[in-house]
Amino acid sequence: MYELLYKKVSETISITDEEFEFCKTLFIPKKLRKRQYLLQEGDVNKHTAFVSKGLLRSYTIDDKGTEHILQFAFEGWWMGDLYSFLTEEPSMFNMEALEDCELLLITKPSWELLLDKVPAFEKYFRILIQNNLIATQKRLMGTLSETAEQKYTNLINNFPGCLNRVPQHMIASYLGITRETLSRIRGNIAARK
Amino acid sequence: MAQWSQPAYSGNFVSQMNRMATKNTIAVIASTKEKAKAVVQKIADKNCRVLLVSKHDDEYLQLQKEIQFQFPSIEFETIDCMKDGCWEADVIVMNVNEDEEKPVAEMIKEVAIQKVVISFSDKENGCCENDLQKLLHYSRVIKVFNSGSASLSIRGNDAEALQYASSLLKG
Repeated sequence: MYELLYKKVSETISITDEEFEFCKTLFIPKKLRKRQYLLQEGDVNKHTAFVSKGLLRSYTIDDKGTEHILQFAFEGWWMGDLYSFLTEEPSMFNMEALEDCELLLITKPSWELLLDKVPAFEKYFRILIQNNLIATQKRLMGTLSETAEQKYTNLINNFPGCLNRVPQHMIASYLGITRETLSRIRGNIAARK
Repeated sequence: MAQWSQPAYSGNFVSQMNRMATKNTIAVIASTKEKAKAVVQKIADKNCRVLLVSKHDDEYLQLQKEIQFQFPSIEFETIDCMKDGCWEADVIVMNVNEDEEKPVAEMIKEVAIQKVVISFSDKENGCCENDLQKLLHYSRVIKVFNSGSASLSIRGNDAEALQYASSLLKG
């Protein structure tokens, strides 16, 4: 249940067995079935989730009822609405399991306690948030300046497993393009090979 | 091992849980159909998904039909594995015989960490909340005593979990 969390944390910081044992007492083990929600729009994001197994997506729905996918979270990734988690304001996002998931959830009080008692986690989460900021900036720049084909190529280069696990219409939504455009891009790439 | 503390929750947990769009999953573990029914009837009108731990025998299928007839909008499912049911749950409600409480706690403790665990008891002199809290060391344990009449006596050391249990069972 905690092996992947330990692996990921140990890749970034050095912690003792005792510290990790304490860490385990703060995480809520949670199974989520495919299509169940971890969070729905309008609720406060009370937990940040570490994905031990499965796949989640976060998305928002616009006034016309169109879904816009913000993020996928695969095994070893974290998923949460940091703004809502930290401010306790309602979230604008929905978080849904695309596969059966095993998650480790941490509440804000537990997270603060962890940072207080195990200062190495301050460094871990600082690096995590830095990386998230960089990824968000890259995604924003990609949205503003890249062609649809560049965006698609970057996605499959960065997350090769994504094509087998995420439905095409969700990949199109994540890239901000229509299904037809995605289909045409895939056709063009296949024709060049 | 050094003495580590446990988190102190802020006061808005209960109000948030009660008006959430996201449904909480409540696992119900009961010794008998009657005990299961008593719990499910108390929580059926709350915004939750009920996951009854049972072996899918005829008696429980009948209970499922009765509950769904009485509360047509309820999201109600059964699951035969207690550990998996509690792993899925956000909140766990036990209504088991006194001698079953300890073995059930042993089975679920790994997946009940930081979850609210509500345990019903018929007798006030049975396993008290502190005994169960020792077994489920990292859970937020609440004991509910059926005091004969319709009133319930609800006890626990976690103020917020206590408030949540009160709103769930009495509200």
